[in-house]
Amino acid sequence: MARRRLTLLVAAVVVLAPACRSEDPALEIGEPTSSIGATATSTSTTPTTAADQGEIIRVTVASGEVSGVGDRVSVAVGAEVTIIVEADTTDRVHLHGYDLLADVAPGSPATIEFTADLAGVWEVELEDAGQLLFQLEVR
Amino acid sequence: MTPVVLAHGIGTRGDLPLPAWMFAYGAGFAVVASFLLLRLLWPGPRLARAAIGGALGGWTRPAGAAGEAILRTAGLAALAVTVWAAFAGGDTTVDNIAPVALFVAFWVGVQVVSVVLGDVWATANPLDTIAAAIHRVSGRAHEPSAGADHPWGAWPAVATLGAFLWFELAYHDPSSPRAVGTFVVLYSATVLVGAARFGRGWIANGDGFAALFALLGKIGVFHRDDDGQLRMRPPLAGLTTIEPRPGLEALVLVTLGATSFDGMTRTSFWLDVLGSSEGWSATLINTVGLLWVVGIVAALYRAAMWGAAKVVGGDSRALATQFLHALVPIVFAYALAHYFSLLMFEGQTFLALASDPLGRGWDLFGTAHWEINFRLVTTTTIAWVQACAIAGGHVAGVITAHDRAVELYDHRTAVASQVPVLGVMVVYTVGGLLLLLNA
Repeated sequence: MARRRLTLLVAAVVVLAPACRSEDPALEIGEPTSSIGATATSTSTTPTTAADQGEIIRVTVASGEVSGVGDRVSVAVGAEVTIIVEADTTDRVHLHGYDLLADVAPGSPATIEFTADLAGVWEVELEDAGQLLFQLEVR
Repeated sequence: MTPVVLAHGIGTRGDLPLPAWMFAYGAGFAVVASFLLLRLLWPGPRLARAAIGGALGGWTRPAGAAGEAILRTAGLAALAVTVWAAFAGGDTTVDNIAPVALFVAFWVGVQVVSVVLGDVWATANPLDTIAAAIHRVSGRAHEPSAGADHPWGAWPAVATLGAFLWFELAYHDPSSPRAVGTFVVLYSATVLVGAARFGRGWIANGDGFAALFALLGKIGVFHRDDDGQLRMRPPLAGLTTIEPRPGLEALVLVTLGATSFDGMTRTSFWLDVLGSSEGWSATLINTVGLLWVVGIVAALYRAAMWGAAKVVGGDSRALATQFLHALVPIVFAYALAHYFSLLMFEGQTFLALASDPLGRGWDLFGTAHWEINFRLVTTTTIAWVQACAIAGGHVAGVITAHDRAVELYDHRTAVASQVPVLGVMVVYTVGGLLLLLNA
């Protein structure tokens, strides 16, 4: 009896274990193996996709209110992204993770151009005001 | 001031939402595994018998004594550097080691160490070392056990760990080094006053971190017996040796609820609730949210115990105590799923700041120039770790609860009693996956 239970238990583990293997083509993302952090000028090694033609994200901040995008903007890994921020204050726009900064002032929008080659969810904020503009989801 | 988003005290990176198919697979796995295990698991208790484990040889005793001196020194040094940096170092998380030391290296790191190596913190805990010194100087009792049997049980630990979780997840500026320093000093002083008053053993129930890390240490295979002999036992077996005491249920449920709340703060739902509130109004909203989620997690557990009590004809409060140890693996699974990427990425910040803890341009270990390599683990790996942690925690919880049920009841009653218990575990598991799906 005990032996039968053990056999069944082993069988169950074998059947259910594939849930924990670590490679699945549906999820595999062709990320570059370089350990150098992304910069505004880095080029993507990801194969060309439709997203590579460029994503432009426009945000306006007026009296502390953010408009133009929702809480989260999603782009594909490897996309060429341009973030343009217009604000009625003087501040710096900071894209975390990629660690890119651009000055913004009334009448002088901030522009951040980069290749979205770091997957994850990253904050984009007005650095000095500590105000979240949106979350950039790279997937 | 930094906005209260992507919370958990520190870090500006969030995990990608779990792929939908992985959520479905994980949730299905939890349900199927639960009922398969119910049919397949052993008919008599095994874990309690195995809990003492096998001795690892006489050499471990002298090695343990030397290791103890090293651990105590390291613990004291870590506390001293953290407090010193918090007040004397830079103003931000990138030029001051205190926030990343508290939220990442200590809070997440020691949880992992406790499961892998056993309750190392019981020895490394600088508060225990200080309490021992105080008692030696004052000539009062300094046996490690004095004060351990206070009638309040683990409730002081609930209060102190609850204060930390509130500070990390609800307070609006937890990443400020000065706030971290103030918290660490207040926390240490509170625990030490208790230890000075009641005895050194107070720490096991008065220091919330020590109490929780001791519980997590019961999951793993290594432990030291009363003679200081290092022993090895099967995983989960140590959970049967958790001593029931007042407040322990609250300690486990508050921790589980707080991690769930941390997951919820990253959903767009919570961003909408917070809106543009900042400062103390954000703290207030987060506090309500934290209490609310802890309340839900606790109510689910009590409801399941009420159901189980109906089946076996017992008292639901007694059952809540008897099956509590089965939630401990789930507490760790939630922590691993939520904080794995934080440990991997902000852990690198910790190693860099170890060379320059005060942000003064030092380079003690040659790591000061390190920047976070966000390619150390891929988002694919992170998603798998998250799903497997939640699923694995579920299986461990089911096995532990089953073993206790067959110890308490005849086989038929035991299986029947497990239906509500498995029910609440499935809810925790699916809920945990849902939070990851909507991250």
